[in-house]
Amino acid sequence: MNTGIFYHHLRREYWENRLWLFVLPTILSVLLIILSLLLTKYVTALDISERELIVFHSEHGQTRTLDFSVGAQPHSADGATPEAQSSESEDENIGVNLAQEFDTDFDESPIGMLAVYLASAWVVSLFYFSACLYTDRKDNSILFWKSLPVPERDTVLAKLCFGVFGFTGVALVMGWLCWLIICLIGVVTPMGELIFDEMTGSGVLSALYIAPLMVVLGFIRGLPIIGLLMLLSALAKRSPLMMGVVLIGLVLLAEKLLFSTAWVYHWLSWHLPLISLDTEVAEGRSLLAYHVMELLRHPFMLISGVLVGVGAIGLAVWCREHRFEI
Amino acid sequence: MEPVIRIEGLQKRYGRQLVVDIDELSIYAGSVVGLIGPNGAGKTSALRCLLGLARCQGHLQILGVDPFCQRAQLMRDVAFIADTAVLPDWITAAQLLDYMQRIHPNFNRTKAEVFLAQTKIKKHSRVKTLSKGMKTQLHLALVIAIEAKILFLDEPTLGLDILYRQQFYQQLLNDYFDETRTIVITTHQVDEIEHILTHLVFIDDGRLALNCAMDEIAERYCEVDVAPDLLAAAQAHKPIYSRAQLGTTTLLYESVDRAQLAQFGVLRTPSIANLFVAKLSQNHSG
Repeated sequence: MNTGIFYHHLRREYWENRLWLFVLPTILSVLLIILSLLLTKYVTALDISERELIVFHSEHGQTRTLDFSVGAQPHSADGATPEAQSSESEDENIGVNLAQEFDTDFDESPIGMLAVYLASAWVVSLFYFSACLYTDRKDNSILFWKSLPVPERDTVLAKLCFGVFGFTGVALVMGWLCWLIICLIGVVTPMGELIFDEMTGSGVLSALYIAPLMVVLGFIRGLPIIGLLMLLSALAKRSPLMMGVVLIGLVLLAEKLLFSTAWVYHWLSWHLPLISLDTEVAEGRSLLAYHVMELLRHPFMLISGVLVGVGAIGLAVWCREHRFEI
Repeated sequence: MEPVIRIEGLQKRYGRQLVVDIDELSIYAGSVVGLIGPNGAGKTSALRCLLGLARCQGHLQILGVDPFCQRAQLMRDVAFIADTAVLPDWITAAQLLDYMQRIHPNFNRTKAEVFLAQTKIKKHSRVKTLSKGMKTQLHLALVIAIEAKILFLDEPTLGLDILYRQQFYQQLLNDYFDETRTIVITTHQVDEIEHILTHLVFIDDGRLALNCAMDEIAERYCEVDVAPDLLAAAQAHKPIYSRAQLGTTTLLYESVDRAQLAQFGVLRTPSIANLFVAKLSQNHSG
């Protein structure tokens, strides 16, 4: 396969699907930026290490210190209980909730936030895989594409690469941009304490390579799901996603009824690409090493997944060449 | 000389229905072949078999290769215009040129740009913003720029007004055709391609009803307007078709000596439209 020509097949996919590349990351970015701007309205100073949050109440001009450590009840600086301050408590809670959410995203490095972007990208790409070969075949323009000297193998592989690396790549770039914008907002507001106190240089640098490697790990792990969705897309006469849902439902039901096991469910859920985005790793352990070890600890899952994935993609190419007439 | 298209025993079925059944057909380089038939005659199905887009039975070779098994290889030397609506809506003219230049080994971008410069199509116009005629011009620009040995056109001017239709075939002949290339056109609008054809193939119910060179048409077929008093004598020469008009009857003959017919009136070569109607009527009557 000529890599120069392959690059132009990827460009074609980009031209055709660019709207879907940007929709979800843009929505996410807008939401996160609004969230950070809301924080600047409610929060003037923060002390995360003490698990206390000083909230500036804009309407009453009062400053309150809230303790949001686990099990603690928020209290005001003058010792009054939250029940006594019911009129202000709603705004305070918003501040606490936002700060907690924000704290989770920015804990140690941007990887948590990038994982949210990658998760959204994988969801979109799974829909893309289930539709790409089907819509391509159903559109009138198939007659134009088929009039070109392009092997079906190249078409399928271009869609595979675009679905895996296009959506996740754009999501990562937009995730980093959004993170930088939020950092800039932090520089000019007191919220910066929340961001920069928790941030470490090594955490930011490691996110630079960990996030793309998580995409690769997600691809390796999710290959059979991706392959099966592409096969459905090449095979289905109508509504490939519905066909997939019904088929999987029937297989799961049959397994449950016949063997009283849930092995297929376990196998499928292990191969979801989103599993590779789990960032809840025990302290002191490398996130990357954890996911690589997870792959190596389950050689059967890994090998069976690769075989099913490659087989399904091969079958999808065969279907493109032989299954349907134009 | 080896034919560029060789068909032997081509059969195409949809379920139990036989839609194409061609015993033998060879097409040589340098010809413009009109594959003409009524709606549902099997023209498009036959063309899709030739392009490797549909599975069929029989022996089929285009430029020496099997179109179904080696389609990608074949498409380097074959170009195809299906109808006016097959260019993807979301693409721009510039993107199309760019893509074609990179993926098609025989695409000449300069030639396409020169062609497009004569039209109103802007480089960054999306296909969906173009009129039907402009879409056809854009597609034609792409096809003309491919150094293809065979060009297949399936109802290429469907839905276009008469100006665009005439312009289309004129540009096709001026900018694409030479004696090393072959054009196969399927249509049921016979009048508009009559003047450019070198070979004529009629297809009806999937079978060939006529296969001959345009030069042979004048030798094999003739038409004469016969006055009512001579009609009985003229009918004795077994015309393949007759139609009454303005007090005379026009009779169309196949392989009858012109000298024998001269007594009935002024002889002329029938138009393709008349010949088409005559051959199809003959087919259906027996």
